[in-house]
Amino acid sequence: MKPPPRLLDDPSVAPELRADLKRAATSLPAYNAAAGLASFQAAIGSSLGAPTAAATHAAQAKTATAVTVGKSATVLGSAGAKVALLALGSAALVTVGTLSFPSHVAAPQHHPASHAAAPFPAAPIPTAPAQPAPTSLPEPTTLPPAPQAPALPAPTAEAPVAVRDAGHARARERTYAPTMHGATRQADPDDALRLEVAQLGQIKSVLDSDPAQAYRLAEAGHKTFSRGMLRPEREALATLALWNLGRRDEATRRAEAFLTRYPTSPLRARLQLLVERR
Amino acid sequence: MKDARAENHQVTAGRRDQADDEGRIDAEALFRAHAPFVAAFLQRLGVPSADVDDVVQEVFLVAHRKGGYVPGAGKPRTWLGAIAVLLARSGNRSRGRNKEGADEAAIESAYATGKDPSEALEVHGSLQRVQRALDTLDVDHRAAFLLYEVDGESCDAIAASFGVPVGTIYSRLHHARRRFQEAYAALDQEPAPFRSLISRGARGT
Repeated sequence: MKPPPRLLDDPSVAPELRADLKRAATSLPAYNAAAGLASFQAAIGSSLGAPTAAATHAAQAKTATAVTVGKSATVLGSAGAKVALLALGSAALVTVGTLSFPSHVAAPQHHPASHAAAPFPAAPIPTAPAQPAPTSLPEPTTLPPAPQAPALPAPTAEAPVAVRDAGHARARERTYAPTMHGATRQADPDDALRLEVAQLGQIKSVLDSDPAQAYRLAEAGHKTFSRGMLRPEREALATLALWNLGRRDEATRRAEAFLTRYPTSPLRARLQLLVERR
Repeated sequence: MKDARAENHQVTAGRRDQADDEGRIDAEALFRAHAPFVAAFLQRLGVPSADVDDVVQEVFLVAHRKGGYVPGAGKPRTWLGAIAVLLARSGNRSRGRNKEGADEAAIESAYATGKDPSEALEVHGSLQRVQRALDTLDVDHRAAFLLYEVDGESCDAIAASFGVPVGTIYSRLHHARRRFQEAYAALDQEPAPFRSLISRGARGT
């Protein structure tokens, strides 16, 4: 099987189309690479987006560079699957990290591409939502059962937090392994993760406009995706929703618990702000 | 043309990719070399221009968390493209698919200013027509089309990065090319926006 000739090089294709494609190929948008790079360096300079042990291991082992995309994605080998799932988790994670936090919970290194950082409001609940409440949220009508996998090990009080976090990360990798290779696959782990990402998106979409709903969704997400990969991100959103609701003591307690349980989380800096600005 | 584009990327980046002893390219080096490509790719995937800067950051943060690019069958841009598709799809779900078609703001900014006005109009018209035809494709077909037809990547590299058989990429390309050409041809059958008329007039078509 040979690749088709490129339209640009195919004389049977209309010259106008070829000319337009050629211009598209040579016309890049006016992207401010310098500002973007500065933001990116600030982001990776903090704990945000730190490479995970699994990712580093995968990179060092040169095992896989594939990312599972779309319904037609094939089942990858175990290393590829881990990287693919990690990519999905990371996608949701950084989305939380860079886009979804309330504007008044400004990140220490808020990059200029985003909205300008704003100070904390005097009132605990914004009187004017930053964005209108969506009239309809994309709600999956049915959620698949949680992946048939061993539950994440609950961190013990005696375990050092770094060890607990590392153990948690390893457990995340293990979580989907049985279904990826099992003979009876009841739920595609990618689909489950995509639903979890989508549910996280729902929470984010109402975090500013309807924090009560955001909190309810986050708590529901904890139950629905009890073995999911994005619990830390969901917990961070639940904490911020509490803050937006004016339940600052509760939010602070959960933020402190979050910082203890996920000491290397990319979201640490943002939740640290809640603790500091209590 | 591919070589010229690659050179352009490197000029824009200011320096070549930084690779370690294993050939792994870290995310910062990837950003320097490929951020403009990722921005363009995201815009053409349909990410609203207001969100592109943020999603570019997300793409490279994911790349950073994955430990950078590891040389293999996939190439840096196809690998970043696969991450971009994931994020674009996720964003589309949370934002709702852009039903308005071509993002005028993106197109307005999609070429360097200071050029000859007639040339700028030509480029604008071209980008608008291409984007309107692209908007008829779903994300997977659009990504394959863009990486192969516009960015000159190989089917093998695209398949490796997206984790699908190369035959799947051929299939996507086949359908995408057909739909794209049909949509492009149909542009002449519908009332063209004023700016497009100017653009076509400016280049004498």
